[in-house]
Amino acid sequence: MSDEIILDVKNLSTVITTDRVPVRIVKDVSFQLRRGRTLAIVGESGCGKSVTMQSVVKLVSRNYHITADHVLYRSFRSGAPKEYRLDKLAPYGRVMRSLRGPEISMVFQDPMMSLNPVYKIGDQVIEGLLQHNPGMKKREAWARALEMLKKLGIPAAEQRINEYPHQMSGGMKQRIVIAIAMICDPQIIIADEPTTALDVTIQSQIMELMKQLQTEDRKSIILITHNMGLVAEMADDVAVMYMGRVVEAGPIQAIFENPLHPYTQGLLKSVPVLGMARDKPLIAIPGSTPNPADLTEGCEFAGRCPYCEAACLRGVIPSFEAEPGHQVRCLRSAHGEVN
Amino acid sequence: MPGDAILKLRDAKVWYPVTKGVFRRTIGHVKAVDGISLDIRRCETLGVVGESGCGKTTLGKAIMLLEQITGGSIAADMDGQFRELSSLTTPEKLRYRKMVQMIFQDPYAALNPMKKIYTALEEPLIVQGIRSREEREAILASAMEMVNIPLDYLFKYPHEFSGGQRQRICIARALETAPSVVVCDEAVSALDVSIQAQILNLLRQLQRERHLTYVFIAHDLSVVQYMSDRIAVMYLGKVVELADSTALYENPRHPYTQSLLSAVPLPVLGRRKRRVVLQGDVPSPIDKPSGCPFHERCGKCKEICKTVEPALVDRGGGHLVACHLED
Amino acid sequence: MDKVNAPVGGHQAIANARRLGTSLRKKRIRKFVGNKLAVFGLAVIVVFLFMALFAPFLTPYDPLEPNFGQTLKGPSAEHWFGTDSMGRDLYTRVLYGARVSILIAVSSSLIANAIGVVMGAFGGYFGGWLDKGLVRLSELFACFPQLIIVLVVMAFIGPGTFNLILVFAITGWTGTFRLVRAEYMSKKEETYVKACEAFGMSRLKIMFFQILPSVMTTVIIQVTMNIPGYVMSEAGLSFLGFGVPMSTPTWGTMLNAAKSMKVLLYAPGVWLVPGCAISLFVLAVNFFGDGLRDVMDPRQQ
Repeated sequence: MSDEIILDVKNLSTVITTDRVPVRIVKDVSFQLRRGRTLAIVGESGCGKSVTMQSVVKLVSRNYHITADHVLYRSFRSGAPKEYRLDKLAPYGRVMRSLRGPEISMVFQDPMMSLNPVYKIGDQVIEGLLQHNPGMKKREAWARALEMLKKLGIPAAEQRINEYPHQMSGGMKQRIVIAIAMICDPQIIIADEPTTALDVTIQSQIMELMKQLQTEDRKSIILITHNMGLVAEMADDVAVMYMGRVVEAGPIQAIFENPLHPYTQGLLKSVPVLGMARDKPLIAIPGSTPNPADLTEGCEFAGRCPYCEAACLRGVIPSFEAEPGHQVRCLRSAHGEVN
Repeated sequence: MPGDAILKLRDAKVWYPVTKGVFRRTIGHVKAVDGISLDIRRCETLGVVGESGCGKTTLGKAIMLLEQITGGSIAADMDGQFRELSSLTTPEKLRYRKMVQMIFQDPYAALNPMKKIYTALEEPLIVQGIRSREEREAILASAMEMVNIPLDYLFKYPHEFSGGQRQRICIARALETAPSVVVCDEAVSALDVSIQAQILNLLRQLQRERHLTYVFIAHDLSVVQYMSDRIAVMYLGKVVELADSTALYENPRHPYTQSLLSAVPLPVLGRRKRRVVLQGDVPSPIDKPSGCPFHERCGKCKEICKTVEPALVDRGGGHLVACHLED
Repeated sequence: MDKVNAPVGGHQAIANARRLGTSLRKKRIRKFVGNKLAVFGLAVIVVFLFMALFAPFLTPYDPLEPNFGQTLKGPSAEHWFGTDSMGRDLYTRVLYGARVSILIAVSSSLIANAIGVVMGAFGGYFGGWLDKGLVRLSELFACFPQLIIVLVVMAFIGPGTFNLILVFAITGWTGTFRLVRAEYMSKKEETYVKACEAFGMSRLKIMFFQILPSVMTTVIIQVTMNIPGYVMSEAGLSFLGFGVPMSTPTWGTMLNAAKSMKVLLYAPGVWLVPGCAISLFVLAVNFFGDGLRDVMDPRQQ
């Protein structure tokens, strides 16, 4: 049962036009999210990981142009699975809006910015409930919100629910943001760098919380992050993105134990690991991330890759299946000369 | 001499008054740095870790004279004798500033967007009284070479550079006056992971070549542990543990250090350790708890912890811990 | 990446690198020229200045000499814009009027803003009692009706062009002061300012060489936005008799001459001509200021 695919994205592309210059930010991205599992999307700033998720749920502005073979969401809520083609829905239409919140919801990076400073915590939590359950009494919604805050381990929830965001610490605010995302009991939670703004001890609290929600309620999580440590702790599947493309994807063991793309290898080797010998130099990825508008042909990583060949600079590099379920977008994997 | 102290902090305090009402009555203090005593040794890297609000940045600013200490003392070895920073005359302060430099967290904010790189790098040299333009430009050229940035980039503006390049420029600016101590305040935390390693390697290489002393302030334990010889763990304005980097990692003795270490997610499979998940948040530095500042979140709290504040004591082999459990 | 090598002479290498790079000044000029409205603004300003300076060579008439045989005439070959109620050539009076009006408006705005910038810089950067004192002072000037100050000053030193500039300058700095002070208060916390403090740069140098350039964009907007106000104020005060003497031709006094119903209805040229001159000049200054502001910020090149 755990292999039921709840979200299936095939060849999603997003072009963003600024000052009349169209730039491809997301290029033919495909991934599948399994029910009750965590998919980590890893990449550095500007790699298009956030835009990818915004394109899936269509929270985009007018200058975004999205194309896809399909974006399929399967709702397992009542009996037979119901399928939605998200790519065919109008971004702010009735169906799409009814999906955002009760089916798919998002947790953003900065809890300080995701909460409205002028409303009470409780009012912000019940907003989604009232929106999606017409006819629900405010008192009933309030009770549900209180229950949710207690479930998320917020101390003195009865008192907290009447407070305003500025009265809370960063970690507490992020719990509230998660409560807002969870209140409609969604099937998928998209967490965009949920702990980057938080301290490590708070980060571990939040991560434990998300794991607990997943095992108890079989939620599917998409975790967007640049922290390989978090990926190792949380994810079942990983997709590594670089300059708008998924360069490597597969189950977590494959990515960590047998990384094949030079970029993934670089990411894993360039961060200091706690307990690492001090005299061991870090293996840095040379150069810096290019401007997406400057990219032309060939592999996006070619300019920084130690194994770059002439063939890497031509056309679009296809994706190869190195082992079952382990996709790599690198010509070296086609040659078979891995490692 | 390597190993000797170059900076000595004795019970250094930075308190900000909290005022209330029309008459600005002081009702309390934010104790950002609350009595820190330690030596910074020549040519070592002293790591300072802690969560946001623990006072580590304020400590760095106090060393940089960007923040006045309100109690205790900071003394620097200036030509063989220790001078207290508060007693320095203006020309001596300028000399101290030549000796101690800083690399800031956000390379996007640390360079004036309206000034060319050339101007940004030239200014410290003018302030240090290098009159001849030829001399200044010779220093500029070698500084740019040191951080591996082509010379024609001098005539560009900060916004034309990537984060990594900007941080290199900031490093060039900090090191061109040939300081002996460099305070790195979260020097890599604003950078992308693939760039962090470049900067860390560069910092290490420069330390070897120029015999620099680093005060490496960061919240990322993995980075601090990798970079530092000794590490000071701060909590609510106090140092709770100070030890050799390896000793601290292999044998953390303060409960706070233990939970901090266990909270760091490791990018390695199958090494998921048993977590010491801390309850609650860091208390406000205005009304700090009595006794041990950590007692409210500590799993091993005893009666004495609630009333008596533990002192930072050497528990053997230069491993300093401020905890009653060690007594 | 074309890397310039740094051989023995770093100075020489930098000189080479400097030659290689395209100068920002060229880029700025190119950008300014690309901005049609800004170029239009500059052109209009230049034309106005030229006309004001060379007024005697551009018209055969005297701006003060009445000609009662030719009152309130419409446009004709002799009088391009017609004549006023005393038979003076309107074209001539607009030319001469530009001298006083532009002088008063531009110099008042520049002086007032200069005062505002200096006060704002000291208040915002140093803070403390100095800042408190300056804020109180500015509040005093801001809430006291400008007209009363003008009346008092004029009563003591008498009306006149330079007295008017003086009054505008001492009453007009408060807006700029508040803006500049706020900018300094936020900018002084910026990391790059801290970096300058860390290498020992003096506070005056930080104030005027590090922070001021980025505050200038705000100041330029203020200067250009104030100019139209001063043209109007001058007109208003002259109308009340507190500005320049009514006999001196300025755009303001010319408008005043059109205050009778008869003139308003039957000789529209009398108010339309100075009115258009004011609007055109004000518009040109605004366009020019906008263009200048865009060019100033290196991030927008």
